[in-house]
Amino acid sequence: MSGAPPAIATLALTKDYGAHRGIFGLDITIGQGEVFGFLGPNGAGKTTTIKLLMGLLHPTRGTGTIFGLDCERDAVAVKRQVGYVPGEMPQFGGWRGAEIVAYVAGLRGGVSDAVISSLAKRLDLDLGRRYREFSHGNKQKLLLVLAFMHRPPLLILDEPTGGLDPLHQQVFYELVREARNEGTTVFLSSHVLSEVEHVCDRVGIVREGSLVIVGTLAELIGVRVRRIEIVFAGEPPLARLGSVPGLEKLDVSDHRVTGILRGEVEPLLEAITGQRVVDLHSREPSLEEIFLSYYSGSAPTG
Amino acid sequence: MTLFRLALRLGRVGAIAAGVIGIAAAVAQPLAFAQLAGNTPAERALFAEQMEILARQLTYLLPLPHGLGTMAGWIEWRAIGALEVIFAFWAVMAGSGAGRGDEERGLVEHWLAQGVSRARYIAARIAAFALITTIVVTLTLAAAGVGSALGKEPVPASALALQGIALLGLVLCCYAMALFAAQLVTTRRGAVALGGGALLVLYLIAVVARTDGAESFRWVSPFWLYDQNHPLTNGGTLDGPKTVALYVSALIFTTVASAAFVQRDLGAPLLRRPARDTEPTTLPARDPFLRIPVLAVLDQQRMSLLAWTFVLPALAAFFLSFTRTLVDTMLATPSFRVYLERAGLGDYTSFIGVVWFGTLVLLLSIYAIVQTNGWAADDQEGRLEIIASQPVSRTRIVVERLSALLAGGAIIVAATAIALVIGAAATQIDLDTGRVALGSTLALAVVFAFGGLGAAGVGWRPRTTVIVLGAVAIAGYFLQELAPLFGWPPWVGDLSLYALYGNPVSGAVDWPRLGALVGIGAVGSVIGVAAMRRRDIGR
Repeated sequence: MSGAPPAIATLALTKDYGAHRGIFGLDITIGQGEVFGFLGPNGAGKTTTIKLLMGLLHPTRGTGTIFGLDCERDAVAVKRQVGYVPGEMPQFGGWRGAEIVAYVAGLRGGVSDAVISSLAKRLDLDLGRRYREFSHGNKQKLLLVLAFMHRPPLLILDEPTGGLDPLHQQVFYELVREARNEGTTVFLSSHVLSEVEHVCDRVGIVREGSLVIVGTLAELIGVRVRRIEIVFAGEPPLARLGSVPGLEKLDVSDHRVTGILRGEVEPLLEAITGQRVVDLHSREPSLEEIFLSYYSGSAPTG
Repeated sequence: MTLFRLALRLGRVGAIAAGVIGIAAAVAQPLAFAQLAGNTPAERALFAEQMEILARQLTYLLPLPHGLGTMAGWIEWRAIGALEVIFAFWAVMAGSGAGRGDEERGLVEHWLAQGVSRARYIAARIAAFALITTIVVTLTLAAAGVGSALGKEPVPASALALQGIALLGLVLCCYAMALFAAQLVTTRRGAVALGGGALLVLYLIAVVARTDGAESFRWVSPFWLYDQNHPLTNGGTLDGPKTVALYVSALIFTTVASAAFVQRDLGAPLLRRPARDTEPTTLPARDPFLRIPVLAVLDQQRMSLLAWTFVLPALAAFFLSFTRTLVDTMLATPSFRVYLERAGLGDYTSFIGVVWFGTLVLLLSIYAIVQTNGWAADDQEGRLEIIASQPVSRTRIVVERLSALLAGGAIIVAATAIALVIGAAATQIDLDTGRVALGSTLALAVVFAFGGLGAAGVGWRPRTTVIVLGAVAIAGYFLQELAPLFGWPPWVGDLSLYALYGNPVSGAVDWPRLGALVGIGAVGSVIGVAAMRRRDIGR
């Protein structure tokens, strides 16, 4: 794989809608066979990034490539390699699910009926019904069938589990794992942290149009961030605690001090040396707390 | 009040269209009468006599006339009479939209979720339409008054007001029926089919009643009830009981429709069939056309294409059924003879060439505009994003759309030409088949021009493009119709896009102009491709 181009690579990719909306200077590289989670609050620029990769939007600046092909210039060739779930449901009115699948399969060419049938069965989707009669979840299942049916080497999925019940979310995770085992790369935008934990190898968090961090889940969780709680027998040494590097969000209640410590523990231990400590807790924050800290802007960038 | 304003807003497009047509007809017809009817009593008597003969051939379209030698009688027959069908169509579209269309779009669910009661919601929709209709009818009748004054034969305002009361009753009755029909089906398309179908049957009963038929049951038709009113003609008056019957019918149908709306489930018909236990399908559709470029687009439009392919030939046959009598009658009327000669309509072939083919190109341009509207909807409803995320180039999307438009147009034109030739043979009109084929084929240039303009505009301003194209079509048609009637300079008529089509059936083929028409289509297509390639999709 070392000589193969990355599945996705962007260089200063920018879409500027004005008023600080869009995505700015996105540099990201996703290797082949990786499952990449793309997270961020609403309006952060996730869908804009995905549409830029799909060649649906034209970038203001920068470039994006998929398997070495330019997302804009080689859009047709790129889309042969990609299965896509859009973030918003299209409307197909009175079309039957079977007609939509046949039409899209016709546009794409070379799609196996057996694969379609297998996907529809696993997702428990009746293609004989009219699209307007589909529930939200069934519409989402149809979009998943359209994305997976040609067994693409890259899946770009914009919040793909919206509307799916827990049972079919599990089916979706299985589909992603199977695809990964076959060497498929997955770029997944999501709000669901458990989903990211289930399937993603690496995660990127985007906030206000900028990528704030990229790393493996282990790296993110392993960032030296701890939630600290110390109960002193006497008055807490606030002046010394305040000078501990990386100790933030100090909250004092009587003899109890809480805060977040980034970095080494040693300076904190030195600061409380000589004090009578009744109790001390140090724990890693949950993945959710890490994400929320990045979402809310309290985390350092980079 | 917010709900009422929303209801007014939702009905504005239909109201503006109906109002424009109503006002245009109500002003133009009195002016035409002043030009055509003559000035002396003898000329008026002859005009009235010839028009009576003509009117008997047109009971499919217009009510029986009264006092055609007077401006008031002409307005009642030719101006207001023609609006019966047009306003009824508007009412069907508005009723089906209020009763089902907005529900399909999720608006009703949204409003009900805000704590608005169903009774209040439907009452607001009905009240808004009643207000809009009152304004449109008032403006239309006022325009007729202005037209008659300009024609120097003013019609009393009180008589126009009485005519307006009757017309308002008819429109409200049609709306109420369409609103009720919408409660029985699940889609707007179904509501239009059911409501429009029911009103078509009732209209045909009125048509039969115009020749003294259907005596025992003609009272069920709101159109017949409306036809009995003659407040504009000398000695005529408003038929109180029949007008009251129109309003009572409207009240009954709106009440029943409102009760049905309150009772039924959202998204479901009033009477729901139990769900059938059918075997689920997990395979794609077997329809081979869905996988073939261009044919896939036509396949998706098969029902509407079928409707166009049925309606236009039917109209051609209907047109031919009265062409001979109409031309004979008009040639026998001195003032009309002048008009016919001025417009180059002195025989059957030229009449068909100008009038029918003039109508055909208008209808074909409407077909092209409807397709453009579909392209705009593809974009707004996310289908374009799905198509563009497949391995197809944007150029192919535009080319495929235009090819499907032309292929659909060709099917419609071919069917219409066949109906025209058969109809001509049946009515013993000597029509050159080769010229009909030529004129029909060249009509595709109009489809291409409108399609090209649609493709060019829809990428930038989808909704505006559709409205502008509609305005171009309507203005072009009226410019062509009215320029010879009022003796306007030739360049005024040439402003119409249809002037580029000319009259290839009975006149010389103007190849440079036809080339310009094709050029408009080609330039529009190129711009359309460029716009599609440059634009963002799904933003």
